[in-house]
Parts: sequence; C-alpha cells; structure tokens
Amino acid sequence: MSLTRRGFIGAGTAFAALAGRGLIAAQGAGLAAGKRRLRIGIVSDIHVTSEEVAQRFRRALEHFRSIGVDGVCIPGDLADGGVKPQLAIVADTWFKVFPNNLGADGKPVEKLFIYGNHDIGGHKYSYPEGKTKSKEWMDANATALGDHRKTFWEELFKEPWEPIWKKTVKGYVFVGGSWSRGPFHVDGAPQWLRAHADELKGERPFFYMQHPHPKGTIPYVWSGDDGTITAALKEFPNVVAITGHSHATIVDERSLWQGEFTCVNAGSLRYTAVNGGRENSRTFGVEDPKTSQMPFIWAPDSAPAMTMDVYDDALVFSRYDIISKLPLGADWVVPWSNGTGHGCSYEERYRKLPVPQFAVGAAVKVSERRGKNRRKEDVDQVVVEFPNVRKMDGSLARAYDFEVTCEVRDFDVERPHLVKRVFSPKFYMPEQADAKTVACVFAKDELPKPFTVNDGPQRATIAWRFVVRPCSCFGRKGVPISTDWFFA
Amino acid sequence: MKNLFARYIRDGMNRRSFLKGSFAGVTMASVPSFGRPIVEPRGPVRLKLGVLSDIHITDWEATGPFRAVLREFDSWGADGVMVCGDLADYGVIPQLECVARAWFEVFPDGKGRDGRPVANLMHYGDHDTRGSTYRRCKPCVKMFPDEEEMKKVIIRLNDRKAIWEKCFHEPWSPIVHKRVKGYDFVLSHFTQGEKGNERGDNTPGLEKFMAGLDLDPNRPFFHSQHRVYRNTACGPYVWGQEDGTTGALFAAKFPNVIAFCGHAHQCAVNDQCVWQGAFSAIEVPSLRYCVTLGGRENGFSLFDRETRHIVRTMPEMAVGEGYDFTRQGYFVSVYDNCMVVKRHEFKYGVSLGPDWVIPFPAPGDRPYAFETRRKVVPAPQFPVGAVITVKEVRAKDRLGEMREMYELTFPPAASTASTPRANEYEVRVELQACDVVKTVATRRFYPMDYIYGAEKKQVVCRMLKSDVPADLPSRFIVNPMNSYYTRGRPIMTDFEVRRKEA
Repeated sequence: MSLTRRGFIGAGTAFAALAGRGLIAAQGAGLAAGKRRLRIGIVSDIHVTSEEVAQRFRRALEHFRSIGVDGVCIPGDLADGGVKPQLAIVADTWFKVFPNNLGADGKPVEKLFIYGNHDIGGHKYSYPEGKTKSKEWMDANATALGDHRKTFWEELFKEPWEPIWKKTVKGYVFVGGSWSRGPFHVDGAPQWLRAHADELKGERPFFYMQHPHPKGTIPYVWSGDDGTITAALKEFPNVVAITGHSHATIVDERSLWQGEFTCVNAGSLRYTAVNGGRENSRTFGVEDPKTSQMPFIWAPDSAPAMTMDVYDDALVFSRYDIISKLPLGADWVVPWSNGTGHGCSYEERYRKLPVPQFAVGAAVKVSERRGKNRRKEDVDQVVVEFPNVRKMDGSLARAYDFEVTCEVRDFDVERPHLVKRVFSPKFYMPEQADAKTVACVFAKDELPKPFTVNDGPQRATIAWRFVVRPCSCFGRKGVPISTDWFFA
Repeated sequence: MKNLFARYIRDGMNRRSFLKGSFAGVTMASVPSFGRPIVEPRGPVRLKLGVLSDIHITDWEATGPFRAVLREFDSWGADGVMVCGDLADYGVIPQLECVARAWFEVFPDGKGRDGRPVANLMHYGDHDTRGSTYRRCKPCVKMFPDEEEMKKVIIRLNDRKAIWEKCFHEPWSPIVHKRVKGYDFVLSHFTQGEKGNERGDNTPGLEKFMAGLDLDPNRPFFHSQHRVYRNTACGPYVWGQEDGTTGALFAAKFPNVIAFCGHAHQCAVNDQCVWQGAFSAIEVPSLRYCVTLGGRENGFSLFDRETRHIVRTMPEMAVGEGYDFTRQGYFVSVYDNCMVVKRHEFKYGVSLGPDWVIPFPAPGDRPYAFETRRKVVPAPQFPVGAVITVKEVRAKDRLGEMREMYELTFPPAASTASTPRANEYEVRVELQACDVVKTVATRRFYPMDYIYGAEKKQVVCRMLKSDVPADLPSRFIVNPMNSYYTRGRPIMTDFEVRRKEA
C-alpha cells in the first residue's frame, strides 16, 4: 500500500490506487495509520431511467466491488421518474454485481439506499397532471413508487423497508431517512433520532443519510430541508450526514461541511448541477441574465463517486470520477477523536488550504469576435482568455473558478467596471480532463469606449483592462494577472 | 491648542477663528496633517506669503473678493502675494488695470498697512495673453464694439512689457527674479508664441536664467508659473500641464525649489495639490472658481466635457451649486526648517483641510510623495449609524437627458480629530448570484459641498437604473475615499431585487 499516485494510476488498478491514495494522504497527516475498520462506496442521485443509463451505476458498483467495500450508500433519487420499472433496473443492477448482497470475496455488502424526491414524486415531474389522460401518465401513475414505496421496495430489493431505517455494518450504525411527501425533510426524523439517542451517541461515528443537505450546512441553492433535522443532528457530534439532491460537484471543497456535526455532499452520478453566478453557468429555476455572453455548462459527463474509509482516528473520503478513475480532488481526511470529527470547518480549511495561483509568465489574451450570447442573439464580443490553474501544472491548488474584472481608468479614477466569474469548461471533472485555457466573454457594449483627449503633449484617457484572479472554492483569490490598458 | 485644532478641522473656521489660528502660528503649524508629525516648525516665521491663482478679473466690481483677500493677507502680515497667472480674464488692458488698481488700493506704494513692504509676485497666465481668443471674447465685443478700438486694448496684440510696467510700476521681463526677506523668487510669465514656446507649455531660457542667479542650493527658493508641472501636483491626469521641461530642470538641478502653479483650478481640498518627488510642487486653487478632476459623475472637468459618449449621471456640480462662488487660496509661513501651508476658503471663511508642513530640506523619503502620503493619511469614515436612503427618480444626466435613476442619499464622512473628510465617494452595485457577490457597476462622486470646504450636506449620488441588474438581488455599497484613493469602511443597503426586467 505504498503506491504513489502516479504509480498507482499507471497500474490502472482502481482498488490499489484509491486505497493507497487515501492511506498515503491520511498517513501523511499522522492519521489512519491503523487498521481500516470499514469501507463504504458512495454515489448519489443516480436517476436511472433505463438499462442504458444504469450502465454508469453498474460501473460504480463494479468498482466498489473491486475495492472490497462493506456497503454502498445512495442518499436518494434512484429512479428518475419515480416508477417501479426504473427502480427495478436499479435493483437488477445491484444484484447482478452483488448477488445475494455478497461481494467478490463472498463477504456481505450492505445496501444503504433511501428514496429521494424523484423516487417519491418523479412521475409527476415526468408526466405532469396536464397529461392525465395519456397512457404514459396512466402507466406511470399505476407504478408510482410514492404510493407503493414499501411494497415495491421490499419486492425489488428483497428487504424490509421503513421510512427511517437503521442498519449496522461491521459495528457501525447507519440510519437512512427516506424523502417524505411535501416539505424538504424526512418526517419524524428528529423524533426518531431522539428516541434512539442512546444507541447512536458514542465515541464511534454513526452515519445518517437523507436526500437534501440539512439546512445551514452545505450551501447550495436547490437544496436544504426545513431546518428541523439540522437542529436534531446538532445533538449528535458523532454523526456524519451523507446527502445529495443538489447535484453539486464534489470537486467543490464545500461538499464537506463541519460544524456541530459533519456533513458530506455525495454529488450526482447522472449529471452535475453547476452553481449559478458565473458567465457560463445558470442558477436552476432562475431566468438567464440578459447579459450572459456564454452558454451555461451542462455536465452530463460527470460521474462522481466516493469511497469512505473508516479508521479509529480518522475518516478518509476519496473523490474520483468513476469512468476515468481519476481523482476529483485531494482526499478529505477527517480526524476523529472524543466522539467527533475535527479540523474540517469551512473557516479552518479557508485558512489552511492553499490558494490557486497562476504559473509564472501566465498571460491574458484578448480578442474580438462576432458571436452569440446566451439568448442566441448576434453580439460583438470581447473574449478574454487565460491559462487554467491546475495542480498538475504546478499550482498548489486547482482553481474552482475565476474572477475576471474589467477595470476602467477614467482619468485618475481606476475602478472595477464589471466583474464576471467564470468556470473552466470542465471544472467539475478531474483536472486532467479539464481545459488548458479558460475563456470569459464580454459583450463589447458592456465595456466603456476607450477615449483619448489631447491636451498638448498630454494624453488624458479613458481606458480599460482585464484583471483575472483564480479563486478557491472558499472564495480566496490568487495573485492576479492582467492585460495592459487598452487605449483608443 | 489641540482642542482648537480639533475644532478647526472638524467644524471649519470662521474668519475670526482663522485669524486666531494664524496668530497661534507655531502651535497650529506643529500639528501637521494626519499621521505622524512631519516636523516641528523651529524659530520665528521668516517669511509670510499670500498665494493665489487664476483670479480672472473681469471688471472693477469683480475685484471685490480679490481686494478682500489682499486685505486678509495684509492683516496677517504677508511679505508678498503670489498670483500664479490668469489675472485678466479676457486678456484686455482694462482688466489688468483693475488688478493693479486693486493691488495698490490695498498696498499703496507696495506697502502694507503697517508700512512693511509687500512684494508683488504676480505674473501673466494664458488668459492674460490669450484670453481675448477664448469663446470669441463676447465681453470684449460688448465692451468694445469697434474692432479697431478693441485691438488697442488686447494685451496679446500690444506691448505686454509696457502694459505690465505701466500697471504695476515695475520692470517686466519674461522671467523675473525677486528677493523677499532674503528668499529668492523666480516668476515665469506665460509667454505663448515666443520661439520655443509656440504651444505655451514651457519657459524658454529658464535654465540659462537660473544658472545666472547663483542660488544657494542649501536654501529653499520659490518658483511660480501658470501651467502645472508635468506629472506632479494633482497627478498625471490634471488639465493643463507644461511639456515637462521645467519639471525636468528642477528635478535635475534644483531639488530645493518650492514650485507653485495654477491654471488647473483644482480644489485645495484635494491633498494631491501638494506633491514631492525630485522637487516640491504645489497646485494653487483659483480665487474665481474650482475645477475637479474628470471621471466623477458630478465633477466639473474640462476633460469630462470631451467624453460625451460616457453617461455621467449628474450635472456638473458647479452649475447646480453656484459656479464661480468658491474663493480659495493659501497662506504660507516660512520657518528656518519648514514651511506651513494653510488652505483656506475665503468666501465662507473655512479651512479646506489640515495644514501641509513641508520640511527644509526635503528629507530623502519626501513626506508629500503620493506613495508616502498614501501610507500615512487615514481613510475617511462614515459616522456611526450612517445609512443609505434609496429612492427612484427621473433626473437629468450630464447632457440633460432625462433618465430613470436610483438616488442614494447618505451622511457625509466628515473630518474628525483622527480622520480626514472624504475627498470623494465610490458607489458600487453588487450583484448576489448564487454563491458569489460581484460588482456590476461603479461610479465615483464628489460630495455636494466639496468645493466650498464645507462637509455638512447630505451626499446625493445617482446611479442609472440600468446599472442595477433586473430580477436578481443586488445592493448599493458606498465607500468614502481620501485624496489618495484609500477607502474607508463601507455602508451598504440590503440585498433586494430592485427592478424587474420590462
């Protein structure tokens, strides 16, 4: 288990690579040096619609089997349309890889699945009530999981189902709370947790799964419950919540949250939902800003998965792309002592994690073109291009996104005229698969018109330039690079 | 005296308190500007100077403020009065005669009321020698309907030397050397049209003239010219700079010069009016009206007038606030080891800011170098509890076009015992988009009463409605800034969706 990352990737053995990488990182911190107590594979929001779509899920399970997991967590959204045939594909895929719930070496592998909102109400998303008389709706309604969640589950997965279940894997407790109809939370979870407090509290971690991130933890729009569960979980410093729903990329360091307890975002195996606010992204449910000059990133090619290794003194989360097996970031090593995790709050990692920096000599290039904006309108555009910031190129940290500022020099006034943020094209993928160059597009009429006033030998000017800063997930900014001033 | 100083910079001075302050001379001067004391004035005041510029006299009535200020200088014991050009607004003899008549009314035979000599340190500026060509000289036409008669009174078309000598009873030459109480003064008249000075942006023969003066390199001396020494006081973007030859000469050979200039009409509230590099330069404000730098929404700038394609959201401040009403100047006290420059608004009798105390000789780190000052001068701060009030208005932009705007009103970041007044304000629109907050518009504004030295009025800034993104939460955030662009703590509104896309 002393493989280097390069050697491991070269060997192409997923098991050795992932196990070795996590162990090396943890050991480097003086942690996870003892015996590994538990290994769990984690994917979320697999959104299976067909056998074809399920192939990615199958690859994930096969990988988990190859690295000898003790269980597989899926915190919801198994069946995209929330109908029995789709859930049947999920179950069939599971049992093909883990027949009789057994791994390759014949040891038990636990299903740690829960329903998400798509499982419970997905048929309404796919077949809205306006189509109530269609055959598709009739079929979907007849097989909707929401109305038969217990019977269909037990029939397909061959195990009892409860809205909130508790399982024990190699001595570690897992609690799963399925999506309830209505508000974004799990009905009865706070009461259930309180009722089982004596079994759950202790030195060891226990693992709680629900579909949305508990409110006030991992900060994404299009996620979050109503806050009651967060309040309940705060009573359990040893809980590690494993959640999904937001489809946020696990490249984002904020996918590991730590406060009174620990929470993890498991991403989506089907597609990544990109945070809005960038020139090439959109916020789900919000109309595209009129000024967006770039198409938004749609990320169906992302296939994030995680392995969680549990040691006596640490939890190690390895993040990787299930197709390429390339890492999606450094392992999260969560030190564990006195019955809780430590050292991973946003504030601590804001301070500790390195800031992305451009390579020496990196330059910004500017060109003009006639292009189309987000609304497909023809626009005179100014394209700002600069190198991506990746660890593989020598930076201590990969950039999460970039801040591109058009600064104006209005005589003696130098001021930010317009600030845009932009993602690299494949920021949600392993950095090896990301682009070497990043572009941010401005409409020409967003920029001031350069102007020069001649006053004898003096040139008084209105000019502009672009300043680019690489940003970390926590908003820390590296040293900027900039263009020269553009004069008339 | 500390209390007096605190009141001085907090409330401004009335005329009486200014006089008291002047008599309190040494102690007042020993409190320089904010930050560390630069130098303690040592010994008695060796020389007192009134310093004005751009008085732009049009007729006898217009000499009233000029005469009033001369009397103030007289009462404060000035040994000389410098005026850095632009005496006669349209460059006609009757206007220059008004200037001379005013001078001799206050200083008959060149003497103050106590009989002490008061040196005339005035010289021509571009208006004196070119003003008749500006804006078709409508007043000239009105005064002299007959063109031939008019030509007889235009200084440019007649003997400027004889005119000056007749008016001021002293010899004239393009460059003049005078000595006042042992201090040397070199005055460069504005001489556009001479060989080597076709554009009016240098002083031909200055180097040779100065080489013949045998100036003491260990003692400060004073120079005055009309145009701004290039890339010095008020920075590289100020209107009306010379071609750089005089500045280069001083930088190379006369680091001990204190060089005064005018022409730019810059408001002396701006601390960048004093500059130090290889020598020391001071931009002198106009006694007639102030001009600001460009790039602000409500500035009064000649450069701005040429950038009509840029939407400035507010009218020029001087138009709405009383064009031609502020009257600014300096009173300088020279000690053995330094000089103290008081900045004063004469019409309202208020201080324009803490004194500038310029040490002799200038130490190596040049305390008034912009970079040095940027580190020393604190940022202005809003009063505790200051809030921004926002309302929707339809108002005219700089070019008179009616526009939909947001009008922001907030209290001024006035001076305190430890912080300066705001030289300007930066207003930004920040957009909250998902997990990021980003600036989508920025504009700069001068305070309403900027050019008057007051700092009481609520500040009003207008942002275009189109500066604010539709359908997304945004906020206004305002920073006060000092003259060196250092920002004080901001005040801001809450994030809210202010408008919907039509």
